[in-house]
Amino acid sequence: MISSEAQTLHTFFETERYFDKHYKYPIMTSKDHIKNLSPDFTAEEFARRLILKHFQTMISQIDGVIENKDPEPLHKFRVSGRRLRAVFKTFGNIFSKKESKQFFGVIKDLSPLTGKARDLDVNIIFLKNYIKTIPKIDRKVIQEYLDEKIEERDKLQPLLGDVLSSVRESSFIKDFNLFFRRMKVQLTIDEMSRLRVINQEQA
Amino acid sequence: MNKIKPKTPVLLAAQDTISSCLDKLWSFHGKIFHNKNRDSLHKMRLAAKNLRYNMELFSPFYPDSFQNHLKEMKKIQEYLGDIHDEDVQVDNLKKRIRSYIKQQSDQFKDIEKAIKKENIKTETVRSFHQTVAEIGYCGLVRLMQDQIASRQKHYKAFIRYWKKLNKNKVYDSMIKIISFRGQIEKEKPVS
Repeated sequence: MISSEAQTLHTFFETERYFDKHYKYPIMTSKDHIKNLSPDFTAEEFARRLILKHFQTMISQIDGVIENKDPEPLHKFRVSGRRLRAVFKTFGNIFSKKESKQFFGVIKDLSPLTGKARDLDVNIIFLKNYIKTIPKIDRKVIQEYLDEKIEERDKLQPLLGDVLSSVRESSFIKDFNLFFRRMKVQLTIDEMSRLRVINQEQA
Repeated sequence: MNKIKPKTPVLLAAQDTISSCLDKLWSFHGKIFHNKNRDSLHKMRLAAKNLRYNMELFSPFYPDSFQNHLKEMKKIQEYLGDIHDEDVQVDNLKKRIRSYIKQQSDQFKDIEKAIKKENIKTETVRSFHQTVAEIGYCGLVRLMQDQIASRQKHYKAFIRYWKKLNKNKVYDSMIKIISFRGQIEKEKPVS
């Protein structure tokens, strides 16, 4: 049986080899994209890397969404979720139906609730700014409208928090981790650290 | 769109995916020149969103000109998103204004009945007029009016921009960029 230390070393050397192999290619980076991409990748290699990136971004926003101090984490959570869905949709044939359903399904199920919360956030921001631009005589009814939206959003927050906490505490992240480890793609250090972050989120 | 297999070269997968999304988006070309065609504009928004996300997925593989096209598609999506948001907002405001009108007309009917039965009281009428003054919905009408104006502005800007993209042959340019080893031969879809 290989000790965990030996396994770590093995992974490290695998990673080094990965760097050696891929560094010769022109590195095509985009500010907000995954690094060390090669046009020689297969669709599977590429898809799995994208999934890791967006999954990590999505999971890392959960605390911020639960805290709800500002609307950005929810927005980022939704954007990375949408991107993940796009990957699953585009590369649907690569993954087994079970895998697609397992991960794509959970993300899709979260969408109506997070969407409603995001719509309210956007509406509240808009109304808060709008009210400043209109004559005082017309403000009262808009203020009532705004207050209702704020109340509706506040009521939604506990449910949103519960749902996201349960996703974090369920086997979803662990299953994702196993799914990702099953693939035969060697990871870069950057990608390994993403997986580490996901593991920490679960811990 | 061909089914992407695990061993499909990523650039071929990109070509198939993006060209299919492009076709879908351009299939709305003939359906959007009527301001009231909400359904087509909504469907086109979804197609633009799908295209944008797929372009983003594959963007690191392509030259700067692709990034420029990505910006163009983002702009299209934003215009259509604004139009959609404003349509939804106007719908909500209409419902809300109607509920105010109904509330007040119900009270008015009660006054009418009371007059008919000759048991009307000055306080009841005064209270009704005060309520009308207090829950005046002019602010909501103003908001609805502003949203309608903004929607028209966005629609006009969107059509102008869409025409510009077509004039600049953006569809052809994108097909050329994503062409994998020159294997793609396509004609713009006609809707």
